Amino acid sequence: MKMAPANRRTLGITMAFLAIFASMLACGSSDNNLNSSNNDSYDDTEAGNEASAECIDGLIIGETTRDEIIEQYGDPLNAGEEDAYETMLYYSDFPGQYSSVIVEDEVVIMANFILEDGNDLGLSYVLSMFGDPQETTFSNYLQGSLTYLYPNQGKALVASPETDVVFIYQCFEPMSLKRYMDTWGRNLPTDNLYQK
Amino acid sequence: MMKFKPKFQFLVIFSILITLCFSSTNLVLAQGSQSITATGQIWRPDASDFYNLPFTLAFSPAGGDVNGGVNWYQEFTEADGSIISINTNWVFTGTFAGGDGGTVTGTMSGTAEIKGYPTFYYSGPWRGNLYANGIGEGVYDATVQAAGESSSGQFTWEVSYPADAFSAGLNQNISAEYITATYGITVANEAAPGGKKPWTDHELGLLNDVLKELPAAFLNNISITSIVRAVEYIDTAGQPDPTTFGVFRPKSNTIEIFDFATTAFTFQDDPNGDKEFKATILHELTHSLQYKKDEYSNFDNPYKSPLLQSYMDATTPLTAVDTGIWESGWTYFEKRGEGGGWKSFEDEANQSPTDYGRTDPLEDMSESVMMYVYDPQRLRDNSPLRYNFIKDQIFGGAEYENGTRK
Repeated sequence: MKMAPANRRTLGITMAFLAIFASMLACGSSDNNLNSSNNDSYDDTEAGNEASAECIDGLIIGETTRDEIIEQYGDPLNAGEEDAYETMLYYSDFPGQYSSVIVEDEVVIMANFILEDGNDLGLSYVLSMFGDPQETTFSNYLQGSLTYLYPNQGKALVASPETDVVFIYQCFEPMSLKRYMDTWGRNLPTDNLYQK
Repeated sequence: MMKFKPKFQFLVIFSILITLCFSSTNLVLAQGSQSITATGQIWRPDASDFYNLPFTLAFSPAGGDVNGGVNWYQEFTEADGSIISINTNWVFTGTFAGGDGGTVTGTMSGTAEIKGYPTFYYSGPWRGNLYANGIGEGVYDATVQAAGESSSGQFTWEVSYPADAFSAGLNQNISAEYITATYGITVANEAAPGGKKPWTDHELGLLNDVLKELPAAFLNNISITSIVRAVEYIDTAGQPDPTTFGVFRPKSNTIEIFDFATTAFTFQDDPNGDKEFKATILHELTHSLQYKKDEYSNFDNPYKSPLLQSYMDATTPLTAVDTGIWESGWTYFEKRGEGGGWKSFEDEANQSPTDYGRTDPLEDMSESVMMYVYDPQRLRDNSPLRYNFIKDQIFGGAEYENGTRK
């Protein structure tokens, strides 16, 4: 495990995220609505076939390199290597919560961003942009939150349908729902963890 | 020592019949107070002839002083036409620990004035049953000594009630309107779509039990517009979940309490689930603390709450720092290809008091507050850091014993 000095630099997520949506609108990405799948099975025939798109602030999954991340955001708080992955952690707007960029062979393959409070990014707005999620499942972030999955678009959200707030935005290489659930979504709760 | 022995055989037969056919008398709720008046009769078991005396005790189910007595006057006509009168006035004072069972202990003193009979000396036991509303009984046992006309002694009353029935009648004065007027929280008390249903009188009493014990430091920092009873939780996917206790809805500042909250689950000393019900209410109230931003709004993300952040800081054990400064206390991060999740880096002497509290920091804090009030020793044992933070930062120094403020 490599350790780097703590860098109290947070990713400027909100503005970048809003900019991405604007660019998506311009590119017509919102036309790529997906049908919801059966919750009981994840059909592997739905292979990811969408081209990689900008995730946030110029970050492109599969293209942006580790060095470019460091150049843009600074040294990570922690850079841990495990198996084939390297996870680079950055402070978020919330103490104890870290945005992460995962690198394989020096290239970013996944990014998980904790969005700022009051980011004015309503879930209903995001859903109108992304379309119906391919799958919706529970979340372990806080009571009432759900995970909205768009594996074919290489995106996932953690959000509250009640308060219309998006908490987490995730980018990865487009893939099938089954592959997502076998990899990045391996530990997603399929039952509601919250009893009260 | 002479025995007090009037020669009224008919009275013996009468007394035996009454003893055998002992009928309960009603529990009488003192209007406007949390007090039960239990009534019954006592008798001398060691005498060939004895009296049944009507006996009354008033006591609070929450514990405290017990007051009561016997005030009984009776005249008897002897065969020769003479009249003997007995005027008994005993005052009983004692204490009760509170709850649905236990022992009332105390002393009695008074007079038993006999007219038409030359002397009155007595020493011995009196026993009897006390009933309250036919739902339970206690065995009364006293030793009384009399000298002349005065008498004194000690008594105990072993109270034994079905807990539910014991407390069921105690809160008849607590209405939904009372809760609203007293605490500014609207109690939704009508059946409505989505399984919503009225509160029972007993549940309203439990709700009041929770709210009345909370200090201003707590109540002033929550925003609850309504509290609702419902059959079961309908999750965000629209599916019913019958094993959910309650939920706080930040958008509407509403709490919903579900049937499952009446199930004894968390506490060992909770035979009828009342403590679970109250603890669930407090758990959800604590979520309101976490979301409240100001008088007019909530945080979009409750992890932005300064109170929650202070809680996370205060309960972070520095000794847990092992592999890096970020791995300390509650952390949320991507688990290297397995998805994001919460993990608490903490030592054994500083843990959330329940398994459920290990779900995330919000649930940790709500469970800890719940334990602070309803099982403070368990919280102290699990995490002195949590106990002290909650005491100082949430309850303004107020401490609790089994749900009651010290």
